[in-house]
Amino acid sequence: MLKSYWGSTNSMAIDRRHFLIGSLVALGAARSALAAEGLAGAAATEAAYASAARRPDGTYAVLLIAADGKILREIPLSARGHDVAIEHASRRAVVFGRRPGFFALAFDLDGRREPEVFAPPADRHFYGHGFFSQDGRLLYTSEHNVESGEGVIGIYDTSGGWRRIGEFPSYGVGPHEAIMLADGKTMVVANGGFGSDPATGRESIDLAGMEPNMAFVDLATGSLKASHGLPPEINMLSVRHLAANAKGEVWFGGQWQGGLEDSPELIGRASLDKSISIIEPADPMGVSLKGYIGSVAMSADGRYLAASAPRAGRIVYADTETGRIVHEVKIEDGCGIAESGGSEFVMSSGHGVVRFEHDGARAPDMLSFTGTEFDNHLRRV
Amino acid sequence: MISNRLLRMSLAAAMGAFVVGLAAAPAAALPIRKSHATMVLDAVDQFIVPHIQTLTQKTARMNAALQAVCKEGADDATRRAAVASFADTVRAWGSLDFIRFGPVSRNHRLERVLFWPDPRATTSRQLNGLLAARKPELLEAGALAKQSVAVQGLTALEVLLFDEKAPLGASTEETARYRCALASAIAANIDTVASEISTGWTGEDSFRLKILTPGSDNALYQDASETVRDVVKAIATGLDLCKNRFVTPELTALDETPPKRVRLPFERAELTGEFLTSSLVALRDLFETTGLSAYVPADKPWMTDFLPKAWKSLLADAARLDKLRATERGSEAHLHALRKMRFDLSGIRLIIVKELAPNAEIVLGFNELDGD
Repeated sequence: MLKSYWGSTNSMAIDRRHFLIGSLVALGAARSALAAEGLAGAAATEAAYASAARRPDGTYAVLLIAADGKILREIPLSARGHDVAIEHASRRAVVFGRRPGFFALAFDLDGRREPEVFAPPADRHFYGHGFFSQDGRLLYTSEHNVESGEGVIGIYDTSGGWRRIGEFPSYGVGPHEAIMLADGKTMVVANGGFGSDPATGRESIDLAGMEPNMAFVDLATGSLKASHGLPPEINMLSVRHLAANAKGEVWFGGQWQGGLEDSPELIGRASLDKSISIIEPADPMGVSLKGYIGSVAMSADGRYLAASAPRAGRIVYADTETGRIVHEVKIEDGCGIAESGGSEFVMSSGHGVVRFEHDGARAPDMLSFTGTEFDNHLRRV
Repeated sequence: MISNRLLRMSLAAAMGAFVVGLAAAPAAALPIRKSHATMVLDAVDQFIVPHIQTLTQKTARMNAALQAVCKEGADDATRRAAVASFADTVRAWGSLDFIRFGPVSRNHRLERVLFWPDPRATTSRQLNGLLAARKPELLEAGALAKQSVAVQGLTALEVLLFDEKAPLGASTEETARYRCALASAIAANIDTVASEISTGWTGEDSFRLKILTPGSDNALYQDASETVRDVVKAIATGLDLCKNRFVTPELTALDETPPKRVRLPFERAELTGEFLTSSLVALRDLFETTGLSAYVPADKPWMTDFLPKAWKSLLADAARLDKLRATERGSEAHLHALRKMRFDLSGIRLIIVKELAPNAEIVLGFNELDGD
């Protein structure tokens, strides 16, 4: 009988595979001792930021980063992660598998408890995002109903076992980021407008039929409060990432699924009672940002929205009062953004850079973790 | 309009630094290390444009063959010619399906040629609706282009052309005639889309010139580091497509108890392996055209040996996949072929993305390569 080496873990051929992969990993520069890589000053010991990442050895993890940029801890993941939902009061977090995600891992931000893994039902997969209810008792996750192709919001009990206790519609296809507004009662879902078939990985289904929207949903009942779509001429702009300010204004960053030459502007806003308006800079930016916003974050003071365009190596700031693009940071493959107090941001890149941007003329502080590739999202914890 | 000659002259100047840098090395050790601009020029002029020309030839023949089938008195030879022309087009498209930048990305052209994946059988469902409605205006020139993309391309034509119970052109009954006319309209639509892609690449204000002349006055590309990134990303995308469409779904389905069936592209036409093989051959050719293998790191000579063996192994496994699936699905031999393909596809991709591209100073970001 022909022996199949390529799926076995104890065969000679697999040793060769390990040799191949090991050789590739060894080519990367050796990673410095993490503890030595924090910014100058007293060493911080409490996690301030979290991000999924690929490590220098090619494996995946969620990284906990101190306020000085030092990586405090790494929790291994079985596959690539995406976003991290934070529950500030009890200092818990959940990292989600990347679309199509089949796992989530709950962990204590201070490492006081063992991490717990849980999964969506067999006919659902995660889209990589979620958030905790205001009281921390529930976790809401954006999911895909594999059978119907419709988007759903899964509801999980956080009190023990991460049991899935229900779901309601996302009111669209391909829900990506979902956030809770400051009222604690309203959820906003970025329905990207297209799905994928988990059997074939990440390939998009029926882009021509896209109908993206921002759905405002009552968290208590799951009923739809408002749904804001896009004009037909730009319905290939997939609404993906969201950030809200205290006024209930929700900003989004989109990803253009059509030809780059046809890319519209990528950043817009809406609120419960106001439909989507796309901000139009004096000089069009959609094409130069390569039609792709990878994440967005609102400054702590609510004044600025930062939107990352990793394909262009740029992060732009929009003034939420004037709707104008007012600042830009160049950071190669920069995608993760988190507020770091006031109107400042910290950002991370696929090239292992963590960059602290400051107000005024003060130069940014930068750290580099050789071989580490930070994933799309960075979260303040 | 910038001519090929001018382009080649400017690229030759850009290559100067490479030649000077290599002059002191022993002749036998000299790899031909192309600049970014040369990689793109060769990829466009030696791979993309010729393959698009082939595609348009095949779609034109398929269009004519389908029209012939629908004429009165069509015989089996005419039907066989239509089937053969469909296979030719599938092979031609397999060579291009992973080139997803440029004209194909506009006006839904990618999905209008091939609507896939189709997990909920949208194509069959919508086709049935059209056949039931039998609207004559749908058969007018250009009318199909306004319909759902699911009924415009090869996926839809396959449904109509490979139905043993209702062979095209075999009946003069009204339903059968409409069915044949719809198939013919689909073939015409595919031909039109292929022509649009061709014109987009080489016509007036062509994408070819945009990608070959990056600069501050070019809205799409600032420099050759951006254009070469699109070319290398296309190879990575193609390798992913081969794995995610043909290998992983089978392995996942076979791992179920009991094993599940899985839908693969062009199964009905028995062209699954042909489509996969044409993609793999094209990916290998594009890889070789870029000259990326010259960027194998000096301390990793084993990659120079691994890459051609992996391509060869992939093609050998792809060639027998259809038969294995038909005659001994789930057998050790079938699983072995699938796992070996997964290994080779992943290995080649890993080497390109993590080794050759960085060594050639082509930056493929972790978040920008396959974003979400």
